[in-house]
Amino acid sequence: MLLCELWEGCLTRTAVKDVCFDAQYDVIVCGLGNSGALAALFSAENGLSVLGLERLFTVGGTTTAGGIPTWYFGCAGGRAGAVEEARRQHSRRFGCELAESGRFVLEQKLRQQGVPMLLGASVCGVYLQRQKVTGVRVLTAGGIRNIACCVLMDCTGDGAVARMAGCETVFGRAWDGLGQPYSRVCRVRSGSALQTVNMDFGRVDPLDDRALSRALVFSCAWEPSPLRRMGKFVQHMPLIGVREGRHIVSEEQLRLQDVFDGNFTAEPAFYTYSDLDKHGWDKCMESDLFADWAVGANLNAYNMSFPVPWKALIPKGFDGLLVPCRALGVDCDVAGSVRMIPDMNKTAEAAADIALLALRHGCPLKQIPYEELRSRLQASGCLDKAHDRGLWVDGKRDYDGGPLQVQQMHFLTQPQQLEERLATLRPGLAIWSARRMGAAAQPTLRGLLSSPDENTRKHAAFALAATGDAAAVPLLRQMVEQRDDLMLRDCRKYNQHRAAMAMYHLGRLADADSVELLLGVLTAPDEHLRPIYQPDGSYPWFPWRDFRVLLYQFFCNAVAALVRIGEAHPAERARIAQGFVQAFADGGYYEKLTSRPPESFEGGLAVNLAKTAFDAKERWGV
Amino acid sequence: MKRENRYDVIVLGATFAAAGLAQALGSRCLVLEAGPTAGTEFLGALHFGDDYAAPLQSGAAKELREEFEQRGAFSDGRICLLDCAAPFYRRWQEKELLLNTAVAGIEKNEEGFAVLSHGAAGFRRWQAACVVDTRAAQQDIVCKTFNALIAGREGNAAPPQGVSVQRWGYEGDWVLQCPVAADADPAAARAVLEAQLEQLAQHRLQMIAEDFACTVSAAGPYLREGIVQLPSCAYRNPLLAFDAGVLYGEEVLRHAAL
Repeated sequence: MLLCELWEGCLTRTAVKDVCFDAQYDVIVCGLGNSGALAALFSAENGLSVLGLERLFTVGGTTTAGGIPTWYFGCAGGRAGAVEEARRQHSRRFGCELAESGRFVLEQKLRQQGVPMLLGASVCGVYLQRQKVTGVRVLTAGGIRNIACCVLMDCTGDGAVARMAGCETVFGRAWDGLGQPYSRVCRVRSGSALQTVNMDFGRVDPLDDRALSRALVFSCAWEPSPLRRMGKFVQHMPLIGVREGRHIVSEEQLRLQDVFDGNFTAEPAFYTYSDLDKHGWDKCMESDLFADWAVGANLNAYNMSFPVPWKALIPKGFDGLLVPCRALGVDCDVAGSVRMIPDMNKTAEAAADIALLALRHGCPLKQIPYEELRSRLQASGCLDKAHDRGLWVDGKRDYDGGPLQVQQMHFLTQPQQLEERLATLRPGLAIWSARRMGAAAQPTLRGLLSSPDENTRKHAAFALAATGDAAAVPLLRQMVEQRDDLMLRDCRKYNQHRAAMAMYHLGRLADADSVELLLGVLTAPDEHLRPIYQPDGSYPWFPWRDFRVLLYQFFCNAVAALVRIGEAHPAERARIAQGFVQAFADGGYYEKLTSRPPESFEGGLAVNLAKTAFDAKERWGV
Repeated sequence: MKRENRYDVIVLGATFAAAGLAQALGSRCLVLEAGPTAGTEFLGALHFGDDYAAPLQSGAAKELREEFEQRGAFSDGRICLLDCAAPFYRRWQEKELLLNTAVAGIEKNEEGFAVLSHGAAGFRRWQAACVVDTRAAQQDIVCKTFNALIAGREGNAAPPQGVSVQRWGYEGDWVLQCPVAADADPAAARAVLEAQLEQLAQHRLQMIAEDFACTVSAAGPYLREGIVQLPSCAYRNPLLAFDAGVLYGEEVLRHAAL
């Protein structure tokens, strides 16, 4: 048997024999956040013996200690519905927020099912027999205990236990290794009621203890002016909202490319439904695929549904271990849409059933009969084809603050359908549709480049660029030269401005002749003094005067485009690198963008601009 | 052992007393806290303390008091520390603090103490000449309550009857103090609290504490098995605890200089 541990951030494996286990359970759940508590509850309801371990002194995780008890996307369904209803009833009865009710209700349910909970306990080791997990080593207030199990569920949210066991995990985007910004929810008193305020901060690796501690302290020490305006401060919720931790490499991985290609799993556990919810104005630094969608086509907040494979819960090459939480096996691009509360509820239900079937059949987790799993999940409403809703514009408010017109969308399939949509301020669907059509759309789009209608002309250039056709370049350059600050309206948030989109496409086309133009955005001494950048508080999603959203968007897209051009054209690298030095070496750019501290959400974005530029310079060796 | 893993002092618990110690000792000390937040013995416990007229000795504690005052902590004779979290956390910036890091073991050795911790990066070994424990030791707890903020329903400003409550910053709002056994765990305490809430039809629950409010049998500093005990919750309020930490830290520095 092997004991797997982490020492100073490094994995260790030690051969051990004659390990004395204090107790034996069918299932041990590590992390009693929402999905962990439900996984423990459903496993117990399935008749399995269950132990719950939780590092904090409360259960419910993000939905209780994190202050985010409600959800806006995903689809209701499955066994979690009864628990959610119990929370609502408790909330009404005691007049409290759902976050507080969650603590009581989840604990009551677990107690009623006879699930022992070790609060304030953390897993410090995992026992492996070959590649099968057989138990855990737990640090409790009373000392270290060894506890055996048939199935271990890693519900830490960050894949911490799976990583400890030696499972392959991935973290952050390929561009710079960064995950999503974290958030801290605060309670404020407004009038006689308490309400919660969710604020984004910088980016942190949740498994880097020093960086995480600094982030936790900063997010409690810093008081941005909007927070003070919202009411009298009452409480920092103890748990920060880590939108993205590590993801396991699983037996069947969910990838955004497969979603766009329609290569869906034949064995779903449930259907997810959300936008590709990534926060930050630097989406041009995501993968080409993601950025083509979010920046190139301005479709960031479009919702879509797709099936999640049940084997995404099983770390590749391991048995006895499930990861029913946001750390499941998805790629970084699609991760943002597989973390909503209803989806996490469903991972919990699926994991409980997978564990039951594996124990019932005496087989490895990945060899359970899928038909039985499907039958159970369908019976509860967890897996429901009706949840496969397709592509939607969804939400409450549109960009301008008015009621959003919720509607199902369909990609266009014929080139002649493109013009009508391209003429609007919502051309994204046509741009992406053109990308799907590829060369078949190019003749039509080239024709539209000379349209007398400005929108049609410019948006056709985006669509043509999305197909990889360099005939779009002159119009793209023109939009950059004009600093075209018209913002498109495809989405309810994170809409792109035309010049930013033009820069992005110039980068994707690797247009070497645009280097001077793009460097000009970064290095012109008076660039930041242009009237278009002066904050006027009119942007609903960023009304604060201490961050210039538009200037940041232009800077960020210029940097990303130049890096992409430099990667494609080694001969341009020295010139680009020299421009980066001119733009960023003295640090003056930062104050042009924001007066917020580097650890803030906005400050983090600004800091990463220079880092991105200098990382490229170093990589290129110039 | 790596140089960066050696400290003069390792402090257990990110309490107000620990913040005072860190203020005095700077990078000479490392603070280890099992939870994700600091100051839970007062702020997280919804334990606002009393005796704020008691004199503070250190300049650092007096400065903190001024910031608390500016935030209305003592307005209208009501104590409310909730808006004082940010200035408290600012004391932790640039300090050596590891949150979410539990102590897995402490052993005496020739150089003082070897401390084993466990956190997000797994186990870490530390070496220190001195260990100061600012947490409440189980055997020293003489009184323990689990607190919650409650408010009168529909404008009811009267205090609830038959339970222990304390006024805090707002008219009609109360801190419900629910006594629990010294060895009660948080889940058991929540069950006791809920039973009390059941009796309060005229009041609604606003929020519950993250930690217990404890009273201990003795204030520090004193030694137990070579480890300095300086329980933060032994002080009447967080400013006094912070002050005690600063003073003890300064004493350590004087001792080190000798």
